[in-house]
Amino acid sequence: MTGVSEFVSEAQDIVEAFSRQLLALEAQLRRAEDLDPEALNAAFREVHTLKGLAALTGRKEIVELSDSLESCLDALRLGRRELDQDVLDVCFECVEAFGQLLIAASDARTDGLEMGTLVARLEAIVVVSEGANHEPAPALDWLDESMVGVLTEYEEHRLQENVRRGRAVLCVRARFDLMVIDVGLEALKTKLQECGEVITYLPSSDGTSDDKIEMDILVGSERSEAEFAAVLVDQGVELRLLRAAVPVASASTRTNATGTDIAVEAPAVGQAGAEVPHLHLPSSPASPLGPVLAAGSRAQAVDLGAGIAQGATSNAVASADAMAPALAPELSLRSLSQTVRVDLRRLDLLMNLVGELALVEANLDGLLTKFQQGDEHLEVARDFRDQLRIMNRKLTLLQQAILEVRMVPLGQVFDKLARIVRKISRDSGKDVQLSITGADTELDKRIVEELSDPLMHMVRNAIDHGIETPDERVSLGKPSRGTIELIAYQKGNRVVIELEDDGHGMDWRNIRDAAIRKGTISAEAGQDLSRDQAMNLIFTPGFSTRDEATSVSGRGVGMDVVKTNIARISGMIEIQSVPGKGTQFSITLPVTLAIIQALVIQTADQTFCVPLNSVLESIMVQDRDVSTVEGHAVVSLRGRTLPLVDLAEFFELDRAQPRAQDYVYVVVVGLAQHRIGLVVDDLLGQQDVVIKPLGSALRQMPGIAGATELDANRTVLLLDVGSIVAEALKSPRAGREERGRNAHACN
Amino acid sequence: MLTHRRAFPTDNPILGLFMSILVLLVDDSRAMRDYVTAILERHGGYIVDEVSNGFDALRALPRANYDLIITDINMPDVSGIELARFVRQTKRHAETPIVAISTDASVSDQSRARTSGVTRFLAKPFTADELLAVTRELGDGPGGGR
Repeated sequence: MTGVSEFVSEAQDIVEAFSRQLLALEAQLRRAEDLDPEALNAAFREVHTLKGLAALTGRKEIVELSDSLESCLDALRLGRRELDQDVLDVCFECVEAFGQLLIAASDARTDGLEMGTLVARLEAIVVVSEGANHEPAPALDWLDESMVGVLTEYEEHRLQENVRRGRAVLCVRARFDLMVIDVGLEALKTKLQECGEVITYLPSSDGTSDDKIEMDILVGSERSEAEFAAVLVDQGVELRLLRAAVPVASASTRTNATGTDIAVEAPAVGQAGAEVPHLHLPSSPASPLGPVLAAGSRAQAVDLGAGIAQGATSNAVASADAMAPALAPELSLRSLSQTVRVDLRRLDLLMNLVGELALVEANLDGLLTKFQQGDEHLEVARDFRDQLRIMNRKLTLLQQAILEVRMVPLGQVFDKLARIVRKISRDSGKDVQLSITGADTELDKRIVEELSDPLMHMVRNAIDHGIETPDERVSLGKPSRGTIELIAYQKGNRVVIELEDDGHGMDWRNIRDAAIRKGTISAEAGQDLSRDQAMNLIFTPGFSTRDEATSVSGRGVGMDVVKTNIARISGMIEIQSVPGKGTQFSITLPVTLAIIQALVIQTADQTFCVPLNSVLESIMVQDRDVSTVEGHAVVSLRGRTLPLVDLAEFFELDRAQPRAQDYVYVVVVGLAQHRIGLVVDDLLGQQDVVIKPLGSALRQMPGIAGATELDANRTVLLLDVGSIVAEALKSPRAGREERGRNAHACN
Repeated sequence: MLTHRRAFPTDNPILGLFMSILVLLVDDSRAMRDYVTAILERHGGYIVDEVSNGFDALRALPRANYDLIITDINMPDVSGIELARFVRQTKRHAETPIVAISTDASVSDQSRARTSGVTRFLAKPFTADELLAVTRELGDGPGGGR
């Protein structure tokens, strides 16, 4: 059974969502617009869900109240009763009442809450709606019977409502690949909603393949078929007009058909279209004026911001005040649980602000230094310095606190992986156990989110390609149950995640030969490959050691995508494998993304930042120590040859004058096992910087990861070490030409 | 590839006891999913795949042989009725029992759900025993399953 706090937390979310829908409806009502049927239906569904939830957890009072509210909303969404301010007021009172009931639930109290009067008022609304005049529902005899048969009552009502308004009804038939159905459908839905109201989705099997699905989408629209077709061009869908639009005489938009019956068994009334003229005859005298009057008489209560707290307490209906005694005025909006769900974007914003504050602090510090150079204000300057120090300390604490808010334990992803392991091993007939260590290691929420797909793919791979079947394992002298180990730990300011399986591992020579066979590398290049380089070929696009994809790992997403995804969150991935023993992947990640430590460097009078976590060391090199091997500049560092990349040359920067000194600085950066040295003119220092994304024009520029602000409002570019290393390892000349073209394109 | 996970009524009654029953659960309330999954996995020897909406259900269906489908009726976009209709069109799950959970679907919704292929209704709220009675009956009883 769900725990009380979980129940309260979910119920509160639902009630909040419900009140958001009410606010939206109230706003529409005030502007005398057409009410959005989606909002009304969403409100109904929220209450419906709440009722189910409360019933599960045995909260009788909530069940009772939500049951009455649900009936009331059902009458509204089915058009049996028009939504007016009075009804909305009662709904808002329910929001408050739910709040009180939830407080009581979390305190394990049940005393002193009497919902009887509210329930009675809700029931009165429903009764009124049942007594209302019913306009006969338009017949749906033009619609395919198999379609009518699966519409819910609500969908049928919406369909009739569209007919009543003289809109055309179209059927859009689209085919989707099941793997991408939600993406494809979302795009199509957006298009369709431009044209009208999406009434329902009817999935049907296309019969040819399990991976494809056909979707019939019913849309009601005021547009002509041709206009519709124009919007849907390129969407690869079939469009069928089920019923043509019928022009409506009255331009009145408030035809929300008060008190119409949508009794399902209602016999067809005449010919299709014959019922349309009924449309603008108000069947209830209260219909067009009701909402306007009600809204006017309680003008001060419709402020949206205060809507939840106060919307219901002031009431236009005199008797209502007397009927709502149980709802005490000392309303509190406090959250009932200690956890807060915060939109990550808001945290990002805060994070940026903190970073900018840090800049202000740096600027103040600079000012102070200037200030101190004049002797006369020494006393003031000292006080200033003290205050600055305090501000600095608080700022650091603030930054720390915000970072911590963003931190979530990796266990969140690991739990999902455990489920996947269970499922895939079941599917593939393998016996696999997942051993998890360090689930409490914390990482920035965004990194954890971005990490879940790559990890899932790697786990799938490990089971599908790595771990042998139980029989095979026994014959190899291994325990029949395979093990996947997931280990996470913090190492300095980085987090390392290791994924290790005890399957059959990979032979680097096989990988090399496969790569040559597939043409990923040339045969000559293959001869010179080291073991590590060969292993890394699995990260090359289009590489897969097996020719056929299995249903577990699928086809399409390879290790190259995994690597790209990890690189996107500034991570590195390394692989080690011993044939017969298993494979180990090691992912190294920064703890957070938003603020990073950077090394500020200068070359050809330009300033750049290098993420400090990819810097291994910085050294000073005399020009005479730089040698050339096969046209590449290299330097010998502790007995190892380090290839050099001149940053000014890489970005094709022109120097105003030749370099003065006879030495350069080399920033040694590493990406996985590759190390290269970036040649720069000067090292300016280390600084915490806030990364800002680049605009689309520069996003494709190799070597640049983002921009950041340094002191004195200077914007500098942040280097993307990964792509610089990758470019450098390619044929250097070809890379440069391509980049040159890109740079020109950007200009 | 998934065939080892056959439907539960096997020819061998003893073996049947040891084979887990694979259930697809479609509900947009997390609490409801947790509740049903907890009952089935803890007490009934079922394995439950959970999805929170109709689209995900459409995606899950071709990937496994489900022995039982439990769906909420009232869901946005693809409702339980529409899902049932679709399920009946597929070869893989043409005969799979479908249990619809609903608080109180209107009478017309209920009758349409039945014609669209829903096997049983289960009214919220239900106890663990009520749920297990329905799933066991559909699994082992005469005429249930396949």
